[in-house]
Amino acid sequence: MNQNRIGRTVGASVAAFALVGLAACGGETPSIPTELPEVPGIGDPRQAFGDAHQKALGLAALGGIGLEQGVGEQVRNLAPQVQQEGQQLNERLRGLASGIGVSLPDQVSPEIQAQVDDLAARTGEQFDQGWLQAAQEQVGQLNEQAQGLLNVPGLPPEQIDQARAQLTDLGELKTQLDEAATAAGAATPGGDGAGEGSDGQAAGPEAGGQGGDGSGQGGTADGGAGDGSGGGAGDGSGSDAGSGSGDGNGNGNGNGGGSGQGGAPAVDAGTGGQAASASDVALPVALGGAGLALLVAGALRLRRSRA
Amino acid sequence: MLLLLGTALLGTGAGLAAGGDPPRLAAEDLGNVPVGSAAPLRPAPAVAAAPRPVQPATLELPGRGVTAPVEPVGTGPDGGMVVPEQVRHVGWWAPGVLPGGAAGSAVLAGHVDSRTQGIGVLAVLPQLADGEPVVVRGTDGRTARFRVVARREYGKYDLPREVFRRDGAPQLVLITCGGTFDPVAGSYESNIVVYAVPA
Repeated sequence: MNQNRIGRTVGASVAAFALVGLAACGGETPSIPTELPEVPGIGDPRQAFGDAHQKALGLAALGGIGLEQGVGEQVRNLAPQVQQEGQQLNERLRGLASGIGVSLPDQVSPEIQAQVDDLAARTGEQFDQGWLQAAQEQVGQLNEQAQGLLNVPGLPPEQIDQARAQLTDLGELKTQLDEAATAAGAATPGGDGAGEGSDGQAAGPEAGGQGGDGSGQGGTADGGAGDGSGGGAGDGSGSDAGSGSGDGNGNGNGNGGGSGQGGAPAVDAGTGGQAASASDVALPVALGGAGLALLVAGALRLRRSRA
Repeated sequence: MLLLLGTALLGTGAGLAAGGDPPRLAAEDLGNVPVGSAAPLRPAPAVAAAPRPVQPATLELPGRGVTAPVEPVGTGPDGGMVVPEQVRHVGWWAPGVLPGGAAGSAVLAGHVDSRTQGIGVLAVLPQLADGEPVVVRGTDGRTARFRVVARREYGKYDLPREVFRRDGAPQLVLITCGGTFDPVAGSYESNIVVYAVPA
């Protein structure tokens, strides 16, 4: 790595940390109560808050480095939104966590730092592709984790409402990032439908709204995203290449699972068959060769004995 | 006696060669696949110097005498990872992480063979042994060194999404095709995946 690149890498990392530092407003020493009960589907709330909070810090840092190093229109357009969402979620999560006596650290984890370092080492199209993929993954994971955190008992209700609105924005950002990543060739190969279909799940609030709706599709095979908030009946369907099912109920839970083989496999890397043929031919050739050698040896011996 | 045995072996060999089964490139499972979804790395008061990732330029398998140029590739419009046309080249999935960093799974893939170019550079994956070295040399000459820890054969539509993860412990994943070759479709039914961890 040449001096300029090192300078850029360090500069970008410092910028990312600076952004994180600006966004963070809590104390440096986590004050962690020891008696928080485990929450089904979430586990230890302290750890869950810590993980989601790190994702939010990472998102803010991603936004910052995207603003600095992004070259394509998509990254330059999305970076400010990503940064803003990260900063706002950082504050929301801090508020929610402090409501149950958990304070979150300012420091980013080595993993988030590694992500920033990786992106800082890139330029041009490779930066944009890496950035879009990272942002897409980060937003998806954060959205999922934060949805779960809203079920932690004892959180201040007014903060839950605000967080819910924030997560709606995050969902919209995820859609934009998914589209941009696909257009830039940065979507995860095989899509969600390769291998195991992903489940879409959404827990609706206590009352009102439409029913859950889950669907599984083949081809690009997105696992169905459940979206329910009570009242109606959900439904799900699978396309011909995949399968999926979904249901919704009055409590607004929608589940969709999909798996499919309609699209391309994640990696398709062989068209000739020579490697397989070469491997297959080894045993017959070995046996045939040994047989031939024995035949010759036998014939020679027979000839000598007759002579 | 020799004549009888020779005839039997020759017949068996000929029978196997003439057998109707489609050709198959088999790869035995090896080792344990590294667990990537371990608990996230926690903030540490004093972090040792993090490994610096490299922009991959060549892949080297010193034990096999293999050196292959690496091209950055993305995901195609069909949703599959783009693999370089040249069977002597290897593609690095550029939207994923760089090799040699502190986290995530760097992915390199190459053709096992091609109708027009013959056998590819990653056709050796089924033979790689536990602990065998894998080296990724960067565009700046620095290297990221790995050692093989596991190999698996997956159905083409069953490749774990985990292979492309950005988080968790660092690893390098090498992918090619294998399993049964379908001459009509002109493609293999499986992926052969080799997992390597920092050496």
